[in-house]
Amino acid sequence: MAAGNVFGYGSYMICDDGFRNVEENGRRIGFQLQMRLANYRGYLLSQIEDIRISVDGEAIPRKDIRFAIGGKTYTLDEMEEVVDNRWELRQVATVTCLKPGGLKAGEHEISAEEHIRASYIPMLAVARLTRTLRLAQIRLA
Amino acid sequence: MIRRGISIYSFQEKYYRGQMSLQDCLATTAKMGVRGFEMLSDQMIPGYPSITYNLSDEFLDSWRGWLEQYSVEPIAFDVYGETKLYKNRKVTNTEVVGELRELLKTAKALGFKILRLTFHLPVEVVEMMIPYAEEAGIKLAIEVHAPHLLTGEWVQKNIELEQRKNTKNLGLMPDLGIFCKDIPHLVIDEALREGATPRVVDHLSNVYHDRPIPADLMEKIDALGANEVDRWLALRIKIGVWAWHDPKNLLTYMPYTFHIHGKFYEMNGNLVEPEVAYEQIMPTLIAGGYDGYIMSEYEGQRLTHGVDMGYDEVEQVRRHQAMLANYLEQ
Repeated sequence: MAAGNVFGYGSYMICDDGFRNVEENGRRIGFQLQMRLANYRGYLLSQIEDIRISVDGEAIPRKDIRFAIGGKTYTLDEMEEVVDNRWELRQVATVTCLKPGGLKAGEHEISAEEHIRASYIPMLAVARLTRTLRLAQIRLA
Repeated sequence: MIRRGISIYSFQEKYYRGQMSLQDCLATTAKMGVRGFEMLSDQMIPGYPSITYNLSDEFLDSWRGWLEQYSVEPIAFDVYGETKLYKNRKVTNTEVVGELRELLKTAKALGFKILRLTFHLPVEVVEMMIPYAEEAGIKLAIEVHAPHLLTGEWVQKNIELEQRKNTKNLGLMPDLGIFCKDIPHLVIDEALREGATPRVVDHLSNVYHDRPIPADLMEKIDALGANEVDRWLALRIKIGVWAWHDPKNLLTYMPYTFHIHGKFYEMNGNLVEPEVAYEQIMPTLIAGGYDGYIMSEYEGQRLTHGVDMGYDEVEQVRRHQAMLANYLEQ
């Protein structure tokens, strides 16, 4: 199937804020970023066919990505069946990438892709964006 | 009578960026002296998209308050009906009808009179929706949007359906993007900004203008040394993101047409849309006695993100409204 972004809004996909390491029980388990829809409308989560993230050229495996919206967190596989929750046009999603140790302080090149299945076009809507972001400082207790 | 309306879809980037709320969109519509408006369920309604009715009482209270405050009137509600809901399973017609019935209920609760259906829906689904639309007192408008043409099979099937069912609740909603003389110049400019090859772009512009699109378009531009940006432009031409046929076709389909999307990509300072053939469309609609709304539907914002165009979405809609008013001598 052909792929490409006919819907625009790709330049808004990766938010300026919220790029940071994630800790659980005192250990760094990965990093997260805030993402917006590369689209003009919202979608049910089952229509988000894929979210792809690379950091400094290294692709994060699909199974290590968690997508959180509206107070709920999903794996991308789980999202395939979710029709009772949605990504509204103005909602910011938190995408967590599991990567033991997280990322080093400083700047990182983040590449993101959103693959969306819109019913009325004969292609997958795929948007791509690469941005360099500075990891937010976190204070260790 | 031809009425001017606004699809608040036109203000989508300001909405996306938090510069305008839904309430602001309605207030802006009223400020332009326009009463009838149109919107998408999945763009600005909290709790949507949803395959079940999902309006909160709180939202409904606000909504009804805004309609009264701004004296605006909900006309058409644009929905989809998700046929590709799941990656690994097809959605049955009965399931799609289930989704659409919930959206019909949503439209009714919000006070809309027309439900827009798009061309990806099987005609069987449209048929199954007719009795529910009749019961709700809502008209189903089949959107005639590129790559489909008025003269195409999709329209023919729906006209046959309307005649067979002898219903007043089904008709056509042409999107004026089906009358694009040329590829919108904003599309060309965007491609060039992104690294398209000028001579390939010229070739593609001519191919679109001259029509029909050759079947071996991709091979032809590869021979010209096309890069990825060129190929993406060519692919969109090939799948029919823009379309053209003689606006006189509107006359033939006028008896079935009760709503129109006034699609535009850019209104210039002289109140001219350079590519959508309003200079042919408007006299045709007037001569043919079209009765219904033309909704300003601006779609240039997605082609100009991050570029200072010297206007914004509100100004674009203002210019489009001024152009319509000129044609209609209002």
